[in-house]
Amino acid sequence: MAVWLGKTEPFKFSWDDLVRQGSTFWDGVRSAQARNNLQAMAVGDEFLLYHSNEGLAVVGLARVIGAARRDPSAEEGDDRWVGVDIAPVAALPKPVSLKEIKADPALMGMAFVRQSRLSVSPVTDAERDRILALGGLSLPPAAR
Amino acid sequence: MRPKPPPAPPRSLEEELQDAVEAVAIGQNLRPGLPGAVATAARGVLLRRGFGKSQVNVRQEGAGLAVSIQLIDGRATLVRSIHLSVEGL
Repeated sequence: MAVWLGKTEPFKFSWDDLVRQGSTFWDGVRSAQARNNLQAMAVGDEFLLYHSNEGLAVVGLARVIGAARRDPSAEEGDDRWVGVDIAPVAALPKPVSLKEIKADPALMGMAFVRQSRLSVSPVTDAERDRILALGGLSLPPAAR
Repeated sequence: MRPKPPPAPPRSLEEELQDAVEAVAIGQNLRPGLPGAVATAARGVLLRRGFGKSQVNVRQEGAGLAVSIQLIDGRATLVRSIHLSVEGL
């Protein structure tokens, strides 16, 4: 099982929207590297949701419930872009801010910190466990 | 022979934009990519109408989306501002 992080602007789509809807199709990605990460996702993978632009924090843990398929929000005939289906698992009782992440030796090297414009990025098991611990969420450790 | 019906009156830019964003958004669940798709639809209308420079912002408002469009001329001066909303997604 792999772990990923997806960024969303909460004034467009937030963790609360995901919880309210029960699931969503994570679409709208228009970067080749992020697209490759979406394509690498498998059902059951974990998906940390990060609020960008406003909030600037990891706010919840979701799970991939549907593997990559064509993104219908892409222009007609443009089959390069994909999305995945995700569903919420649990909110972090204490959102983990970007400031905390950058200050934490175990997290400062996270892919989404190093490549700040990458909207979907891989997360190591150790990073996932550390974020959940900082966020006060008690779940079994990640096992790849 | 029946006379041809008169041509439909030309639609205003606002009407065309509203139709375009509703066609994309109505009946859809909110998704991360939906605001972007709405913005793309609005930009398509603007380009067809010859507005090369514009800023389109889409954000949630209640149970819908608020679309804010600013048309900018060649000197980067705001020439027109349009606000649309799509309710009941």
